[in-house]
Amino acid sequence: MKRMMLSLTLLVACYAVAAESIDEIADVHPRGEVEVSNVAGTVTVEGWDRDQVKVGGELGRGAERLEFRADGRHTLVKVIYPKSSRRSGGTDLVIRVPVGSRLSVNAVSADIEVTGVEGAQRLQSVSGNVTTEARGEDVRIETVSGDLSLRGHGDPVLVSITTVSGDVDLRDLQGEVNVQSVTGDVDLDSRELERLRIRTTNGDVEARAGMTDRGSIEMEAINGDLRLDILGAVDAEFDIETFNGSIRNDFGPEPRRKSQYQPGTTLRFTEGEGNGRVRIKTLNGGITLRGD
Amino acid sequence: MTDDNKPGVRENGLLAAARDLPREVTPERDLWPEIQARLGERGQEAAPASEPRAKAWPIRFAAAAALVAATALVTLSLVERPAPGTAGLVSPEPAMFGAGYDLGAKHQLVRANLSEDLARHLEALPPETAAVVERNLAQIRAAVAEINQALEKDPGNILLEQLLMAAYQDEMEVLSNVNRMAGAVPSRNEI
Repeated sequence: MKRMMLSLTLLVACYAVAAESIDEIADVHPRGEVEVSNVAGTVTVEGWDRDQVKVGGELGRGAERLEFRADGRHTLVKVIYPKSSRRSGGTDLVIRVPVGSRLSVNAVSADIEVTGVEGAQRLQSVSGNVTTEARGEDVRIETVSGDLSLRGHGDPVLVSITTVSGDVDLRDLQGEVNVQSVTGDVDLDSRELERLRIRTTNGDVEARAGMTDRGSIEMEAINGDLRLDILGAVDAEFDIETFNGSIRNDFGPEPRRKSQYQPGTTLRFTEGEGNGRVRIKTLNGGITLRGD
Repeated sequence: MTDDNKPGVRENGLLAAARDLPREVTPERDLWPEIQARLGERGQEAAPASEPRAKAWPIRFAAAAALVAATALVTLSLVERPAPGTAGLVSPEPAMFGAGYDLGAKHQLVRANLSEDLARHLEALPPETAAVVERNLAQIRAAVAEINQALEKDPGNILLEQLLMAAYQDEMEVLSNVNRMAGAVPSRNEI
């Protein structure tokens, strides 16, 4: 019994030591690069109006230490694990960075959440979810199975999203948006896009998109169903085609069979002056095109 | 790669060959008198007591040889077999473009190398994530096969050609992106 109690006490003591609080701060350049690496747990990054990076949170069980290094324009925040350790508890990082920082986050299963950062972002999590905002500079997000959520704040940006099976949720973006998924579904709602390009193998796409003058929308799928609701005035040339799927068009002419003897349906027409361009292609997926 | 060289086919062939090997082999003639003669007098003395064992010796030798051969064949097949679940990744079907056209040796080499890298990198990922990658890659390759079949029936179809090219690009991007992401992950024994 005594031995059991001793073991239990040691276990609790080990846990208390391992679940170590993090509290680091350093002066940095207001537009420097902040690089974060955390395998499991969470990474929360918030922009603030100080020229400092502050790291808080809790080091997970099994994590060896936190490497925190600020060298002028480059800050590194990295959770280090012992090489012999096979399992680790997640480390939760809460990081405050100057608003203008460029941000790079690498994670394996850790979720990433970013708010209030105006610099370019490159966020990558293998299976964790990524949530962030676009505030003026380029945003690039990559996951394998993690879901992605991105909200714009009125600035035109270049957004590049690549996922294998993660679902993608995009809101209020302006500028250029490129999305590629294999089976992940894409849901987009953005009123002023210069260029939208979505390509998926078997994911479904629901896009409610408005186009700027001479804007373009391209959507492509193999088996995924594609639905496009065009918001606002329509001034574009349309090129819609499917090999085996169906086309439903709420404005413009009816789609027509390409050949009596071969599968394939096409729909080509011009609305307004035809300044913009809408191109949608599928192999088997259905296509729905609707007006505002 | 020919059908015979596909890992599954080759392995099944080797195992079938191993199974077909005889469990025992009877010599065409009785070898024991000659052996006994060479062993000389000592052999003659020992012969009566050990006759049943002596008669069994060639049979045992043949069985042992068969066992060694079978083991070698199975070992060979296991050594050359990719990690479980990755066979389809390492050896994708040739990258065809409709009937009679392929994307060339250079593309095939890059694709094969990326596929091999992926099979290795998947071991660093959690099993469920690795399974997601494999399933999704399989879906892209199924789409490629489906488009190729359609293109065989409708050669020169521009839509199919565009979709096929895009599907091959997707495959390469998944291979290279997952390799890059998984390459940055600490291996399982480092986590």
